[in-house]
Amino acid sequence: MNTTLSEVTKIKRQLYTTIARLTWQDKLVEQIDDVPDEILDNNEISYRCCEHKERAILREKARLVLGLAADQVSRHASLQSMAQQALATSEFKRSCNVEMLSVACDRCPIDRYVVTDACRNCGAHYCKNACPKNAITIVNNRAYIDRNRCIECGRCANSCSYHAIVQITRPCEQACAVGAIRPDADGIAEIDCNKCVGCGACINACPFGSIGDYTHVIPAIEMLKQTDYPVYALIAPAFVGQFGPKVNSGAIVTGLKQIGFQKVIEVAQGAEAVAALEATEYVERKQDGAKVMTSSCCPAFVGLITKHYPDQLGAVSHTPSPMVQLATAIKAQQPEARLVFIGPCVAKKAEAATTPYLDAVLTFEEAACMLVGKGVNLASLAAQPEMADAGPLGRGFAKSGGVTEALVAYLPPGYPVPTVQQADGLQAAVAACDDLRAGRLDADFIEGMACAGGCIAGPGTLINPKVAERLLDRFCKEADAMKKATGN
Amino acid sequence: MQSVEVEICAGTACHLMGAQGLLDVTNTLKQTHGQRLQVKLTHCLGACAHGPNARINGTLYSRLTEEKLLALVNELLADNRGAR
Repeated sequence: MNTTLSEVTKIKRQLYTTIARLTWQDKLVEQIDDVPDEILDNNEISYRCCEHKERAILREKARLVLGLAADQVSRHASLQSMAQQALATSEFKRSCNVEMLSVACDRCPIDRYVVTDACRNCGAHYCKNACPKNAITIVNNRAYIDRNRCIECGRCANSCSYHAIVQITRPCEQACAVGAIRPDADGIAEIDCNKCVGCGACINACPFGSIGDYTHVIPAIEMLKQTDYPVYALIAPAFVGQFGPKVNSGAIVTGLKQIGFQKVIEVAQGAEAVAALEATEYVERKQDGAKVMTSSCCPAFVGLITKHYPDQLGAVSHTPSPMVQLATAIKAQQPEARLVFIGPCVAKKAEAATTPYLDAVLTFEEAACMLVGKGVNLASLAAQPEMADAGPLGRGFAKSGGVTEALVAYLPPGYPVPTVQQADGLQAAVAACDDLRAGRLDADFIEGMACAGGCIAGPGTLINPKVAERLLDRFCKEADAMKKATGN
Repeated sequence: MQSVEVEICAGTACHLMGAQGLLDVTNTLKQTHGQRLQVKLTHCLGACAHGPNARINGTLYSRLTEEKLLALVNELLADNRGAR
């Protein structure tokens, strides 16, 4: 996989870091209006039309960092007034967390099949002959596709000897496995919140960076600045290696404590509890004659069933996700504590809106920008011992197959091993749910992961998922070794 | 024969701005040049606001891209070959 960062990603991270820095310094309201220009000055941005448009786009992206939706602010509101609004609001958790920035959408072509200059008006006219709807005629020495007749079957493209007909799909639409993105009347892409499951795949797919998610950066920093209550970081199992090659889990704990977290706890701990509960639930359901049970840890997968297969909701495990499981357990002991989940996931932000136990959700990307904004460099912290909160089964939840492995391990001895359908990625999940609905699914358990590869491939990660998997495997082995050494 | 030393900053700010990509291209280059190219990771090069940063034979370069880094390193490797 390519590790090259796009300019779009770099600018996004500069924006996050700058806004985080100003929030830490209590200068957000005072200085945020200067941020778009500061970023334009620091980058060689190839303007789409002019500096004004780039500035307008940066203003919209800054609004997302502030956690404000388009309909919460007036069209001409200054960033300063938006910052005041963001600092004053306590309602920042939202069930629909991904927004298309219409000012930034480049209105990519929506005609799916396009005849290019490579068309030579050959004698054979294979394209014309292949078309079942007579949509192709020859106009001005070139094949022409009549949009009213074209059914987008692709036979013309496949038949052309010169590959002169190409298939073009908008990257955002292509990335969306649930068909939630469609062009509006002006050709600007729109997200339908009734269909969107919040997985965030479109965010990184758009080459213009026109799609983003609301962040909880401002409220998280404000929580960390005060001393009235303790703030704990719940860090998702996918965190291993995310903060760079010279940063182990212990250094991450130290760094997060330096910016105000009192404790840093592995969510893998909650995952272990979830695996045990889910195994018990599975045995009970099977006794009651249920055919299939699905996992419930991935909020975008659960969202897929809720929004697109509501008739199949009964198959979803009632066990809470590891995040909610752990948060509930902590709040039962310490109701005064504020809990901030740090993970690879965009959909967790929407999940947090469904529970009172989570106070904010950050991605690894946002957390790293908050560290940098506070001047903390994790790589320069002295060597630290690794974290030891959780065992290998909980830690394994971060990659595809891990949930199943843990579930199987917690089944009673001798219990028949379930047949598992791995729904690895939202597209695979759609296929599995289609089969489930049609009653042709040959499996006892569906492990649903909206991101192909699991959480380590989530939209809020900072490293190549392949590298992340290798490091995670090592971290799981360490937990195993530790378990054996301590004899439990 | 002179060698080229590349120190890539793995500080959090540089990590966010693409240090891993710089490391990957340099390591790939090392496969052809072996001992003549030394690659090191470093904690901080003191220019966190202008990352990703790398120091090549003692000179600091900021806001690097993979292309820029490759061009700089290749030039030095070629120069050294001439001097030999």
